[in-house]
Amino acid sequence: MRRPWIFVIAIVILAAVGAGIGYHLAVPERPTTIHGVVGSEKSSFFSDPRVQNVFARHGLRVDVDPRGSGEMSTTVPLGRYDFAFPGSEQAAERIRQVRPAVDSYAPFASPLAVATFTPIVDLLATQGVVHRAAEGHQVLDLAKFLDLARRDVRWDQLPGNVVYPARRDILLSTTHPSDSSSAASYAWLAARQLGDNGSVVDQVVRLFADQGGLERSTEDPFQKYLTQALDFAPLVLAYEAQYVEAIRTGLLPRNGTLLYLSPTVRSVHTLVAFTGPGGEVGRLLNTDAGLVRLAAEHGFRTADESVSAAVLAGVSAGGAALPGRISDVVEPPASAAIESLLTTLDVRLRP
Amino acid sequence: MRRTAYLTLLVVLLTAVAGCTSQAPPEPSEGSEAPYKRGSGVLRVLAGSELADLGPILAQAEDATGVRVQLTEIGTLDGIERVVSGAAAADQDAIWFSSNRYLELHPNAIGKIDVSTKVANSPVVLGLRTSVARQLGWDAHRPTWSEIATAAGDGRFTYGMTNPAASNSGYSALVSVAAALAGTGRALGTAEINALTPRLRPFFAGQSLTAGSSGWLAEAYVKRQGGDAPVDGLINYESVLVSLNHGGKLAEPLTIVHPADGVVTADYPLTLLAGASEQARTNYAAIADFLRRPSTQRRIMETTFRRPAVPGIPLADVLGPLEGGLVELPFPSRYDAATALVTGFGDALRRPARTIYLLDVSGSMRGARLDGLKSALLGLSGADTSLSGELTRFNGREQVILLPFSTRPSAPRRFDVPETNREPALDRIRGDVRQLTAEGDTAVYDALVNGLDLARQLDATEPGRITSVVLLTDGERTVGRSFADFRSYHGKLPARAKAVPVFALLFGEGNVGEMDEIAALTGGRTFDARTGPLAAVFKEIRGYQ
Repeated sequence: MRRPWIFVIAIVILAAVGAGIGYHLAVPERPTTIHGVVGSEKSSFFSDPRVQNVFARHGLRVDVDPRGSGEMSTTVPLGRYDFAFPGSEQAAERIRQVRPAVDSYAPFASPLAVATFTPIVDLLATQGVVHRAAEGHQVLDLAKFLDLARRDVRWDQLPGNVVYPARRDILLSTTHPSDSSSAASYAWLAARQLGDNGSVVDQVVRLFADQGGLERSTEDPFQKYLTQALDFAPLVLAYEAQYVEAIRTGLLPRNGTLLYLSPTVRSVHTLVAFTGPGGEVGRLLNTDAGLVRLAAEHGFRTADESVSAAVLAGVSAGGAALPGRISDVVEPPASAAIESLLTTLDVRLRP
Repeated sequence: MRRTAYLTLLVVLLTAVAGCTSQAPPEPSEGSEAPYKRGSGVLRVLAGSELADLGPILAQAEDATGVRVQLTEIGTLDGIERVVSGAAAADQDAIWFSSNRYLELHPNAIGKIDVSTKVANSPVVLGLRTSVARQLGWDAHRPTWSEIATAAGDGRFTYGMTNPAASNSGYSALVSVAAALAGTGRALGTAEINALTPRLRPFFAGQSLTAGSSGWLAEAYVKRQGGDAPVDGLINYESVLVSLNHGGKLAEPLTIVHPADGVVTADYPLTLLAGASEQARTNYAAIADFLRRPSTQRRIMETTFRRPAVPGIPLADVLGPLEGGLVELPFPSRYDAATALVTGFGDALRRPARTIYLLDVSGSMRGARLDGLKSALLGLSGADTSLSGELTRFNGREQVILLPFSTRPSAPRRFDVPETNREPALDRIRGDVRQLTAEGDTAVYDALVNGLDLARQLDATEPGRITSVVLLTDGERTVGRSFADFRSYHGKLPARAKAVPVFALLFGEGNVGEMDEIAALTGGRTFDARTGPLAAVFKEIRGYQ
């Protein structure tokens, strides 16, 4: 007891050694890092710590770069990735033409929709452009909407418009159809709606050219919808999943709501695996119950519909729960059809 | 002895433990945030000068991520040119400008840029001295761009704005006013731009101060407010204007005017360059993640007054308008239209420039230096056909004056470039430049006095131009007036002549100290031409003319 501090030191040393050993024991074996390039609307899913934990339990670290789905088959150096995960099957097909796939997976889908604001919806309803579907959700009537756009009707020309009396054409704010599959799908839906006449391409070109500078990936305009709200734009093309995630995390702007397009496409988010480990990510997204549940929580419609239906039932837009099934869905086009449209648009939009 | 051994062991162990913990990432400052991503080394970023105010944020980013962001400043246009030519990828990992919109329209930009991360937002708006804003009624009522253009054309206020060919804030202002006045509700096409010329000219008649960068414009505004020829306001990023109001250097605060019919907003995309190394990609991801954390976004807003790029952060009160209604105006969607706006601005819209070049042709300039000077001036006269060459050439309606000097200043040679059919005048400039020869002494201050006298005479007989002087010398004054003589001459100049900025090049063995003083005295600035090609500096100066 002459030198009690020695015991203190001994305890400190033991604690320190223990902490050091503990620190090293706590770090698991170095996980395999898998590189993916994903549509930007899925980057918040992959960066969710809960998602990362599930992958870590399988010994995987999944590192993703967000890019436009259309860019993946044009400018993205696919050689450095184990998988690509675009927003549609058609974009996936173009990617497979650039780099052969070992396998493909379709773990979830999300219909193309429009992020907007309740007063805008009410205003468009007075024009007969918005109505309620049988399931209760509100839809933007594409045919009537395209007619407004064709006639260059501006927001400040709509009678009784006090919410957004801007001297701007009534258009959907989209990404660039060459870079991003949401805009590419919209281009195809519009072309299909306008039918087979000579001026279709001109009209579709103007839906994009008249907007002004276009972003490359779907999450960029949606983030501006969330942060700048109506100042950015009154109608923003988005995936249903982006809206669901925003409302569930409390980030939806005031009066924010969702319109479905009528008709719309399901947009099957398709994982193209280039390597074995890339395929493992796709397989887990399809089969791991935790990942399926988390995908549903991020707003995606999972292959097992019961999982996502529970989430969607808890989210509302326009005074109604999001629909479990959407009626007015058209089958997406064959890849070749959309490819020829996109090539034409690219030439016209990027002279 | 035993005690020493224990102590040594203790120190070693504690050091080891400390080593472990210091490798673990620091805790993010908001509880719910995930640990920071880590990288190592440097992320080399070609950046706009307006991002320099993010220095403290980037220092915190280095603590959190282990990545040091090294910003290399460059003008927007030069930056675009370096990206599309592939030169940027040779020595940089990423680019960071206030906007990528113009770059993304460039046909050769495809495949040159990789992932991009939006870091903040700031609309380009008008800041006016409070008293002037009150006279115009714009403290209570938000004017449209059309009302602003009318008031500017009537001479009811003057303003400063950056050159749209050199800087994004000026370009955004040009897009805003053009889109708003066109009033079509959609992105402008080339044909509409030409038709707008008569309606846009009055707006630019009110411009009395120009600059090649947003930061320098703000500084010049501050310097001019105490002098004899103050400017009433400036068009700049909201963040720069609010920062000025909080900087304690304004005699009179600025009323921020958000035009009622809309704005163009900068979104600050940190963008990886295609072909970046794996380490650069890791570093980029770590920095991008740090910058978009809510805690970082809040600090960016609080310290630089840029608006957040992520949702969930309430706007600071100083970022208006409180009632909302900040419509985003359409940016051109085609490269030809975007470029036609800039060239149209130079040749037809802006207040025409009077550009006086004082050119040292003393004996020491003989050889490579004179060749470099000739090549730079020939480039501005149309020989340089690159994008930056096209956007920095002498403009329609510009008055170019060459004043070579050696032992004595020569007679000035004046060239008036017409609005259309510019080629014959440019041809005469080129002919004159080719004949320059070098011999004799260096009468720097005699030349400066002659140049400013000329500016004063011409302004009296033919007012309405934006006048500036460029001074190129490669050595010290050897004959004629001294710097002290010049200073006393300058002190006696009338207000308008005193406000003519002198842009002095640092070149050869020239006297850096005196060049700095000349620039400070006249409200100009110096440009360093000691390491790079003279042509690049001459192009950079074009932004200030």
